[in-house]
Amino acid sequence: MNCLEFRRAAGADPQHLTSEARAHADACPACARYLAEVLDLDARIARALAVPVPDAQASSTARRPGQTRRRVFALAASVLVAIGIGVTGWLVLAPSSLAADVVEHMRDEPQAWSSHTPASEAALAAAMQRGGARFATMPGRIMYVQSCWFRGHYVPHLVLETDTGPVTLLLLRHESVKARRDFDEEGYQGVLIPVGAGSIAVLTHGTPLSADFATRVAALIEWTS
Amino acid sequence: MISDADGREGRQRFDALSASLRPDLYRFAFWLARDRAIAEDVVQETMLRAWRSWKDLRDERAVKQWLFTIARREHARLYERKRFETVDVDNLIATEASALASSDGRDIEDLRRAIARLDEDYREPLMLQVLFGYATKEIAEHMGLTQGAVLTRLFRARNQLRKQFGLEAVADDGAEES
Repeated sequence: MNCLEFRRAAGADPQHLTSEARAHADACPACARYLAEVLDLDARIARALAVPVPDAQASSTARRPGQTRRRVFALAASVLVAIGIGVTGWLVLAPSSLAADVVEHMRDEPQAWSSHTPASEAALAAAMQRGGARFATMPGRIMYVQSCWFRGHYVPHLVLETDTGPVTLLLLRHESVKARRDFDEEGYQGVLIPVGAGSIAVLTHGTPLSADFATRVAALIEWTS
Repeated sequence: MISDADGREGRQRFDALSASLRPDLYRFAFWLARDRAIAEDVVQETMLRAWRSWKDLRDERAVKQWLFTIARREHARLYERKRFETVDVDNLIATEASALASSDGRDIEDLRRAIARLDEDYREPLMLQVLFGYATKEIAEHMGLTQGAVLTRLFRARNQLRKQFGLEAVADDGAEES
């Protein structure tokens, strides 16, 4: 496989590269950088595609006869904007917790939970290198990898396959937490665990989270920078 | 024959599933139409048609793909032909400015505008892969294409976005999709 063939393959399906393509990325720094760029762009594309969804109640009431849908939508939108201004004001005044930011990030990347095929080793290596992290030993089969922009840094966002369902890890080299903290917000059950000077977030969505599993995964994380 | 109890249970199950899948369905419809009002119409029509055929659904695990297929058909049936001659992307983007705005910053907002400018042939597979985690084989089945054609479209979609964001584009041989 040459560089052009690799870039066409990575540009089409970067999460599922063939073994030949992964070997090429391992041997070619320029193509490894290209792959990292593609994965970064994909993370941003996913955030861009996750446009806000109008409230269902507002939508259904916007179907009264005698009004055009667009006019009624504008009315509903103005109400949402007013609510949005209120919420934004609250958010400006209220301090944002790490757990809340983690949950917010999950909401913006819903596709992460639904991958049915393992992520490529090259994609994992690129995300871990950028996030300054590595696993002492692999914690299990990784179904999804992104290098995500989170609180001013690129962090590895991984989804592990487990017997009880997908488990998400965010490896937060720059986020220090004093002690382990469980959270349960908006259907996301998670835990923040200190790891050296940083931390990891481990969470599930709609399935139980094993505290032992989270602890075991945390013990496998090493920071490289 | 379906009893009242079965009917109630089915309705509750449908309501629960449709509520949980509505955000995905709306986003799918929005990026097909690039118009909030049309997206909401497509979602509503899709839910109506889905409920009428609900009892025939054999595998609830496939319900999202099923809804997307209905929404794609509804979008084409209700709006695509009507808008084909008149759609002006610049005007459409200006009209939908608030939907494309992002609290995540200018970068994401610019990306939304760039995605909105992509041809639908490229926008739809990119959305299915990146936002909804579809495998290329599933996209091919959904769009009635070969897997090779889907890979070509995905490569071209990313390549066009790379160009727009000042990243080095990869040479495209311009080959027809196979």
